[in-house]
Amino acid sequence: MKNDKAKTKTIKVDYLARVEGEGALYVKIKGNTVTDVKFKIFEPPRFFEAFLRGRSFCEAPDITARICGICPVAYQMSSSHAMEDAFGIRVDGQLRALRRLLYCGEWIESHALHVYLLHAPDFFGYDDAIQMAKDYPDIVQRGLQLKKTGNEVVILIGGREIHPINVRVGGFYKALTKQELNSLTEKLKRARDIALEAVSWTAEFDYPDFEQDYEFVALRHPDEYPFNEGKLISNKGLDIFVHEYDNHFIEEQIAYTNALHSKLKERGAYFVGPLARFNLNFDRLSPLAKEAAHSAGLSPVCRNPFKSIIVRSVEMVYACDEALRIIGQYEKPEIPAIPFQPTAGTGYGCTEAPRGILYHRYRVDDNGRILDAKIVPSTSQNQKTIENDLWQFIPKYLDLPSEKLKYDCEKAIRNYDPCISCATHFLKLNIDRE
Amino acid sequence: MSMLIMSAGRPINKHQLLDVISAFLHGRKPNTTSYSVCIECKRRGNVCVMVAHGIPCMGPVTHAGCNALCPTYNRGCYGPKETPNTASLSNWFKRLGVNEVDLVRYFRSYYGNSEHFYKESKVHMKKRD
Repeated sequence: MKNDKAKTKTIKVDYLARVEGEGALYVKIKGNTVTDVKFKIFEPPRFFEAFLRGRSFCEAPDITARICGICPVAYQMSSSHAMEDAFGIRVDGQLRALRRLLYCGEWIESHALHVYLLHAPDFFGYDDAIQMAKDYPDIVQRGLQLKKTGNEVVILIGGREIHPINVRVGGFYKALTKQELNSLTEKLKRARDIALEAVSWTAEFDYPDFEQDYEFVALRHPDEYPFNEGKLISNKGLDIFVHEYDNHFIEEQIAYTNALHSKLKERGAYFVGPLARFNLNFDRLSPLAKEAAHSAGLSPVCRNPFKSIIVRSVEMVYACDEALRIIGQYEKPEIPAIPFQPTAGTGYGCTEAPRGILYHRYRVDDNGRILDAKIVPSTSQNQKTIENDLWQFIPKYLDLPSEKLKYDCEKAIRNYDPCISCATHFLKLNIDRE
Repeated sequence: MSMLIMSAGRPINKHQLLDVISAFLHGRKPNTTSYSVCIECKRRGNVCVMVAHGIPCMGPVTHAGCNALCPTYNRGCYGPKETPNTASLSNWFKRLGVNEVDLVRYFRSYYGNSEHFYKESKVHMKKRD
């Protein structure tokens, strides 16, 4: 790191900490102007789309789940929906509810990990949650307890917490009994209380005064807060069916990153994830989650990405609430999966992963063998917006000492809970000052 | 260690990882089972998915350690194990109506490059073409 008096300055973070996967940040500053921002994902490309070719449709949920250890359920959901779309089948009733419940578990485990262990230390100036635990042991323990409850939901329905094995195209391999699900009720009630505390705790953090005119993109369902289904909408006029995705979004290869950049053909960068879902679907939250948001001073539209930590906490309240609702109304379905015959065709699926929309498209032949696959994870969709934020954020804080500026840049990136492993198909930070 | 983890079948679970780490810390040999997933199914009282439901299952050629996770959820397992009898399993799969193309697929998943699985998949590649 050069001294702050020099005219050109480079901020380099070679390995971004507290993000999933490996990435770096490079920022170049000349005088008082930021001249370059590169969010680099150097985790090697993983070629999932290519090695899905020739595999059976029924393997897509198992194979694509391996893309991410934190949101495998999202991959299983998007791939199953895409295949079901190709074969013209619909999974309804209690099987659909069971999928939603599994997704609630994943949101709780993923959000709790990010809120407590990855993002909260930023607001207190700690390097990690282990340091934070020295001063705030109760808070970190509550966070872990919340995460554990999310894990338990996924273990029960999916078989194990990471890369569950029970999801299949058409439903599940094994449907659970009401009694089995009831075992989660008390834990989820306790988790919901912890999530409510998380909302009031995060609401008290100091937030930088930073707002941008984002285009938020999320699913919108006629009567639910979105998990598995809905139309793709934005606050700037996008309103399309999932199968129209490729007409409106494109992926670009950028030399310095191994993850493709995704953008809206007409308007460029966009924002996916909890903040986008909250802003576009506030009216679909449960009364308790709405109340929690209001008491934290949050209402749509929130344009401050740093406040996504409060929104994530609100979504944890919702996920616990929704899980309890589903369990309360659950009855074991007669069959674990609906029967069907694979047919040649193209299927589209888009579901709300914890980090935002996850798009899958498959073309299959008459035997159900995959001819080609396209997978667009949430982090690759947020990359452009992350870079844009840094372009706007850094000039406001140029007077800060380099180390502090570097820390704040990383914090700004973590607003998006980037999952680099997913996006490679990314974090290290370099700031160059001239 | 990679050899050991490879031989433990499917992704190892946290108990296996903890055992390996603790074994290395104490300078002892890790506790690995010498039998296949089938034994774990019997212990859990699972009805065999292959025998009872005709679902192709890689359990016979997969190292135990997962506590028969997949068959417990009514589905077949994916491998592998040391010195497995892959040829015999392929014959059984064929009797269940699995064709050569799909046999290649079964042996070429997460552990497609392990010695026995790779050899077996090559046999069916030839027959397929």
